[in-house]
Amino acid sequence: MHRAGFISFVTRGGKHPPDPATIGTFEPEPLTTANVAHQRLWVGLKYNNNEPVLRTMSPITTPKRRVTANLRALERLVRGFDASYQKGLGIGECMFVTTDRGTLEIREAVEKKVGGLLLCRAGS
Amino acid sequence: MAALEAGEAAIDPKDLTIQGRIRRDPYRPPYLDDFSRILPIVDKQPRPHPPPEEKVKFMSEEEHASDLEKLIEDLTPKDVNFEGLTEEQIETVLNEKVDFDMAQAKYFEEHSTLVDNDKPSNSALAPSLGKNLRGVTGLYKPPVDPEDQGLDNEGEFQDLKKKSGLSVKDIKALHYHTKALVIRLVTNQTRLGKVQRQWVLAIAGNGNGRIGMGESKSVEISVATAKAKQLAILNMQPIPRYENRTIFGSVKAKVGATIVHLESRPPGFGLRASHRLFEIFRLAGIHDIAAKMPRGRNPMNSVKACMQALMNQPDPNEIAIGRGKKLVDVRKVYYGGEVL
Repeated sequence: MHRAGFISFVTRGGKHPPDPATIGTFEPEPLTTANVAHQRLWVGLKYNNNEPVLRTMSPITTPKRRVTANLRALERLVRGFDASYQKGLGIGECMFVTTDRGTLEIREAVEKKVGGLLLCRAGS
Repeated sequence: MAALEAGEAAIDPKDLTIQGRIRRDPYRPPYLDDFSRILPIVDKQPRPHPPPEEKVKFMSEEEHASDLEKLIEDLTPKDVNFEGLTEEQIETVLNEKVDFDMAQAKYFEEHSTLVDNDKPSNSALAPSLGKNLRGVTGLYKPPVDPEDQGLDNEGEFQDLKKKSGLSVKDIKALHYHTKALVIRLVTNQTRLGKVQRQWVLAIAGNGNGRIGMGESKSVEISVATAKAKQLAILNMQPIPRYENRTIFGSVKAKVGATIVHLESRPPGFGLRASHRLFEIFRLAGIHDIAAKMPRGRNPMNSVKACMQALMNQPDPNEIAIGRGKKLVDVRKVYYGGEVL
């Protein structure tokens, strides 16, 4: 999501959020057995002209039902056609795919010619 | 009479005795060609007076004065010789002979202030005063602006011209393409009963990316339509279009129970939409689009939802800026940029 530009930062942190002004130099505290239970992921949301950059987000694969797509299906989805029981991508929409080359945005996956598990779709 | 006698003389007496009958049936007219009397039901009323003059004027001051002088002259009794009488005697004679109060009342209430218009008339209509009336012309009609080149002598578009800043020529060009899309009869229930009015929704567009909607209510449908069209022209706004022919992506808008779903389509696809939405797209200058209304298709809500959808298209540039990406349209990359 960070690579796709939906969020401004994502970092591990404690109970209190990191300061967005100094996020470039923020170092999360080292993990210890004492603080590991309080750790969380802090995500910086982005806004452009008072409009959220990340407006909609919906899971595709759920713990109960995994949805995978091969390269052909991904290529169709990227071009806006329906495939793998998914609606094709519209304007400004992204899909995230977990592949054996790592978790990729769907266009990166098509570029690398790999299919995988469809995680979620996000749009503005 | 002479004509009648001549007519009678022209008839052969033999024919008259053989063919002439005196009607005796119960439906016969109540006269036997008795033209000396005027029967109010059967005969037309005589119209002895000449028709009123075409153009009459109000009296000028001198004419007023002479008119009053003549009136007083008419009032003075003719059978009395005033010579050699004292003033007191004259006054008593006048008080006896003339009803001054009545004359005064008649002068103020009934006397005409028009030139030569105390004549009796057959017409119930007042004589016309002509078109260019001093003190009246120009007061009740907006002056014609020479800038309009004679296009708006009725003053129909003057208000719109002032509000929109467009020239009458441009307004007329837009007005020609406005269309009343929805007309409804709406009723206000008051304690005096139902007050019915016409509600009109009109759209205006320049056929090149600008579209506006106006709604108006009036007892008279023509008034409501005219107002709605003016408001539509006034409310015109630009809408984003992709390649000046379709919209960006797919948009959805909901008004009431009506959902309008618009989708962009390739060149040459045409307008596949319900007739009201078709008119909107045509006026907006959209040539390829698909529209769906999966639920209610209320006329008013469908038009309003369509307008909302057109206004709320996603902007690819804004999305790209928000994500920090560079946007490139690759549609014109292939075939040497030769795309429809």
